[in-house]
Amino acid sequence: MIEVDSLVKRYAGVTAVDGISFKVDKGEIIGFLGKNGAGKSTTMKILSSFFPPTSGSARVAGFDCVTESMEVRRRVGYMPERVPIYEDMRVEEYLRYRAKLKGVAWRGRERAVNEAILAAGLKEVRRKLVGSLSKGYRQRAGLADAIVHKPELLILDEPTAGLDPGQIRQVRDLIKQLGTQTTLLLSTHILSEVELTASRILLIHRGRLVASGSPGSLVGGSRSNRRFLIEIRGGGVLAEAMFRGMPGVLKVDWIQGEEWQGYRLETGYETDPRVDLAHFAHDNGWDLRELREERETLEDLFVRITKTDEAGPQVTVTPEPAAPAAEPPAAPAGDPA
Amino acid sequence: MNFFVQARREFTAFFYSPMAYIIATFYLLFTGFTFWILLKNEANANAMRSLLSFLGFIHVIFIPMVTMRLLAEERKSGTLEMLVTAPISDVEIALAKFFGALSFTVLMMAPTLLYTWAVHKVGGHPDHGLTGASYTGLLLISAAYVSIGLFISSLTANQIVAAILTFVVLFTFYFLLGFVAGSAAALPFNEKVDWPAVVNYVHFGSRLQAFGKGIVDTRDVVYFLSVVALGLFLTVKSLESRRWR
Ligand SMILES: Nc1ncnc2c1ncn2[C@@H]1O[C@H](COP(=O)(O)OP(=O)(O)OP(=O)(O)O)[C@@H](O)[C@H]1O
Ligand SMILES: [Mg+2]
Repeated sequence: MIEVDSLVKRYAGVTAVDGISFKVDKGEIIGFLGKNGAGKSTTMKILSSFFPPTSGSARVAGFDCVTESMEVRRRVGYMPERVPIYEDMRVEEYLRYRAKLKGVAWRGRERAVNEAILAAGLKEVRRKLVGSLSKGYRQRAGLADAIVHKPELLILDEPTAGLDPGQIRQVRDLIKQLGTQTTLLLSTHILSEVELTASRILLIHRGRLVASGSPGSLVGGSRSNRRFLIEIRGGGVLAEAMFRGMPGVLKVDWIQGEEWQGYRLETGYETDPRVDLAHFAHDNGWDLRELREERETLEDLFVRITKTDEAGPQVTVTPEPAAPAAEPPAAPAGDPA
Repeated sequence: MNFFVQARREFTAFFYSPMAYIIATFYLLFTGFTFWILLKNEANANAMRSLLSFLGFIHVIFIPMVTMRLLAEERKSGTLEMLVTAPISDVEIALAKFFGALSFTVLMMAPTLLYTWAVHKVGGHPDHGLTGASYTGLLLISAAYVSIGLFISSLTANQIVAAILTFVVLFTFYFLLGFVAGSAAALPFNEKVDWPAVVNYVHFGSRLQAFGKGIVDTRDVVYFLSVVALGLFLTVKSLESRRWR
């Protein structure tokens, strides 16, 4: 559905998108993540044919976003970040106008408008002026506009920004439901939302793609170091030294407490020292209170990868089909941060 | 056709804004008052002729206010992004905005036709041929104004800037150039180029004069239509400029 190849977009002086390549299949729900200014909106604007890239190419449903932009525009439902809507129109009037503009045939138009209104939960405000809507309803009006012509690809730029928790849940449910009918590309800063809705995450940093994969594989199966926490009574310095000497352990942090001592161990991604740790504790007569793996959350991953000032090595979990598979992703030797 | 969908939106948008009603009201008050003065001085068809040549100048003031929001507002509020990512071409957008604003201008002008009837009432004999020619000229020059205003509105996100800049440009073409042509001696002398003729050629005021005499000269018609075409062309280019910015 989407094919992006070495996309570059430069604004006067700023390189917003710096050689991004990826592919999206039909029916996928893609969560587009990245810090403020990472280049998410810019990529989305290129995909919706607002402006062309400086170099590289983008195709939607097989059509080029620059040379066949009319075909692309007919197939894309786009909701920009600021949700700009003619404020002087009433909700249903606006949607009717947009449906016409997007070529919804006269016969099915009224139904399409009604369906969009129902789907976006705009029933009670359908006769209100867009300019008088609250932020949440305005957002929904933008969403209704994006779906009114039943696009093959939905591009939503931060659809839940500024909504209250209840509305976020409603919009999230709507997005999940839409995701069963169309391909979806949505950007957001709410990571829990992405974990719940997206089938795949694209993380971009400074205009480059730095991670890609399903939420589960990104945080669980990531080939980065693992962290374990053990809390024991007794042991002290001796325990720390012993942990340090265990095979595969790269780093030990001693979290000193009054009675209970905590140790955070970092190992390579294929080491699991938990059984050995339990034995150690038992054999040395230390009381064991807690022993667990500290899993990296999506948030940890996000912060870790986007912390660096330069775009770090690409952490591709599921192999990216669009990128030429030159070298397999190497296991990071140490902590990349 | 998306042109019609958008043109309808552009036209109706005027009626959503209080600004349009204010402009139209002032326009009618202004022209009505002028006409009343003229009619008191010469209670005949001459009042009509004087009024029409005056209207060409009135439009220099009012049309910038009609055109200022056309694209500046869309740029400012971001709705331009919604418009240009819909399946409508830049040419259609420019044409829709042009005809939307021109239709509103025509509607605003329409009540001035009542003045012809007023001339009749006070005993003058309105010259319908003259009125027809004058209104043709007025329509053409207004179309040129709208086209220029549309282009200038596409250059900025600030409506006030658009209005002022449009006024300055229209004022120059309608008025200042006539002044320049009048003082032809001040122009650099050149045997190959007849400067006064050149200035007169592009001077809106001179171009309108024949219409006021009841003559519809093809050259004048072509001239104004060329200005319209140029304005529309520049607007399309300006819309396309998002591609290299
Ligand atoms: N119109 C513009 N002119 C110049 N620079 C721009 C323009 N739009 C964006 N940029 C710059 O391009 C970079 C990427 O911006 P972009 O809006 O794509 O980021 P984003 O990932 O959407 O961020 P956010 O999370 O804040 O929405 C930023 O450095 C931004 O300052
Ligand atoms: Mg953004």
